[in-house]
Amino acid sequence: MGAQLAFLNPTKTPPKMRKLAGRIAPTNTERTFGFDELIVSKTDLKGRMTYVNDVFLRLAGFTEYEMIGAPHSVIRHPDMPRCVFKLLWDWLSAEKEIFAYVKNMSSNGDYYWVLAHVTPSYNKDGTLCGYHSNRRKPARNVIDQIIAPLYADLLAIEKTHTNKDAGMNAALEKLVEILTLKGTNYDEFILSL
Amino acid sequence: MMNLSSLSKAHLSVTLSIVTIFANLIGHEMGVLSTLSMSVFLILGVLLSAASFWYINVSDKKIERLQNIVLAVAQGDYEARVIGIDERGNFGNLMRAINELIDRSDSYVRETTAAMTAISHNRYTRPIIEVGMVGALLHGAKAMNCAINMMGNKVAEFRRVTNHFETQVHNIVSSLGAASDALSSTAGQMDSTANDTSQKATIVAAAAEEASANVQTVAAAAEQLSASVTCIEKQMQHTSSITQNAVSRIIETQDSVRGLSEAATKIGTVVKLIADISDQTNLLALNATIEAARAGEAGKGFAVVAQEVKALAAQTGRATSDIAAQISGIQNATHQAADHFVEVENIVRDVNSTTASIAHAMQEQMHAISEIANSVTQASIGAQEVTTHIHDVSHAAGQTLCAATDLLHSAGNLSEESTTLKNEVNHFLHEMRKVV
Repeated sequence: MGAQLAFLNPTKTPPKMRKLAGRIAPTNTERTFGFDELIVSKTDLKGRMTYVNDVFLRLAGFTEYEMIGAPHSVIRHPDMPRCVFKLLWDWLSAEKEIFAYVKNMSSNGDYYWVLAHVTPSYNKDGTLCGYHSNRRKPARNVIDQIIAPLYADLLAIEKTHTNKDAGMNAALEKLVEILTLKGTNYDEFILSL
Repeated sequence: MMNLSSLSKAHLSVTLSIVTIFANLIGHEMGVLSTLSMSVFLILGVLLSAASFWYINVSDKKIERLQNIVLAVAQGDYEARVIGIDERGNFGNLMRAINELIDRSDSYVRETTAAMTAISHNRYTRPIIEVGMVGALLHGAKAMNCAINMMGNKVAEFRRVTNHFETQVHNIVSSLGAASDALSSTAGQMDSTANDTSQKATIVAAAAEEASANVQTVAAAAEQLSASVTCIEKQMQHTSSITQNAVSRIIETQDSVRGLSEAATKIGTVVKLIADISDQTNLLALNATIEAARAGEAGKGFAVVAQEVKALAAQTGRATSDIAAQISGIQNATHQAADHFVEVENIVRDVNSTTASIAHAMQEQMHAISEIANSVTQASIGAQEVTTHIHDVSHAAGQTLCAATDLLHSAGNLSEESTTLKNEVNHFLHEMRKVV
């Protein structure tokens, strides 16, 4: 990340943020953003945020000060199946780009849907130094007709297991099965929507 | 005060500092300020100046950091961002604007890199995501997406054509393979058939030669048979004249036997006469004996003679009986002979008739032999022709054998060529697919 990402005022140290899910009750209010806007964030290799842009802060309802150093899972919405993040991290660890529809949670419990595109970031010398996420406004009909029902099904599968990992793997298997039946793979499926 | 940036604060501090100094000066000139007040103003002015200096210094340091960030991005380091933005007003907006500039450029670089990487892996389903792009970047992204789409279509068309081509060539190669297999099989069969034909032709040639020899033997035999039959015919004619001669002799003999019978009958008559004489003699002898007895002694000698005559008469009687019996036997014999002669005659006539039949048969045999001889001649010609033709067949079989060998070779070549074709086409398609 280099010196450029150090706080402009180095005397401040960021607070420790905890996940919103479980602490804040989700509301049914949706926050939206423009098709010409990008939500941008960068994380280190462990998923701790090293940069967030204004649009991010506006939608998440946090200050930059609160976000830097916090894990990305802070804004995870309880409606999201864990298997999607498993898929995301599996792909990233293989240094591949990944697209994923994600429902995020704002600090007051509101939600906002994004189409996240996560890519590895490299140093000048070419070594992996973190991840970069651009989030775009998804098409309404894709969320309502395909993604939200699919995630609801996957989440239901996850909740039938007492063991979280077992539930996550079962949901992931289900997702792979659905995609196989459609004769496609995850990558092509998401890009085709 | 809290909504101001460092620069605004410096600006305000300098302004207030100047106002303080001017207020102090004016107060001093007009004599309205006490010495204490002036001192306060002076201290305030110095503090405001120090604050100005501080804020200008802070701003200068932040500007230097911003400069470093912008320079880093200019050098292609898109990880650089301004974080910990604690400035407000224009200065803070400038920092956020710098971040937005980098974010949009960064996203453009990431998108185009990902799309071009996908293309370099022959994936045309990963376009540049246009959502979130604006202005010239959006315009550029659209132009590139249009190009990607066209390339994708062309590659899809190319793949369709190459797949079609591959299918066609595969079918052709399959057909060629099947044809060369069939050709090989046919050539093998031809080879085997030609060999078989050759062997059989040799056998037939030998058989024809043997047949030819046999025909010669048959011809010779027929000739011999003909000669024999001619000889037999002559013999039969001879037999026929002999039997006719025999018949006439038999008729003559029958006449003789009849004469014999008649002579015997005449002898019988004579014998009866003798028997009558013998009986009368006997009676005379009896009478003589009686007379001799009456004459006594004187008739004794006579009695002896009479006795002798009686004995003689008795002897004659017995002799005639014997003769009569003999003649009867002769007559029986002649009758039997006559009957036998009739039988003999019949037999001889049968013989004669049979001989005639044989002669007729012989003539038919002669005719048959003649036909045999004729057939044998034709058979001989046929055998000759068979020999000639079999020679041709043998020659043809030899040629077929050569042709079959050539065909087998050609079929092998065809198979090799079709394999080469298949490999070449596969190689070609493989190379083509690497290119596109």
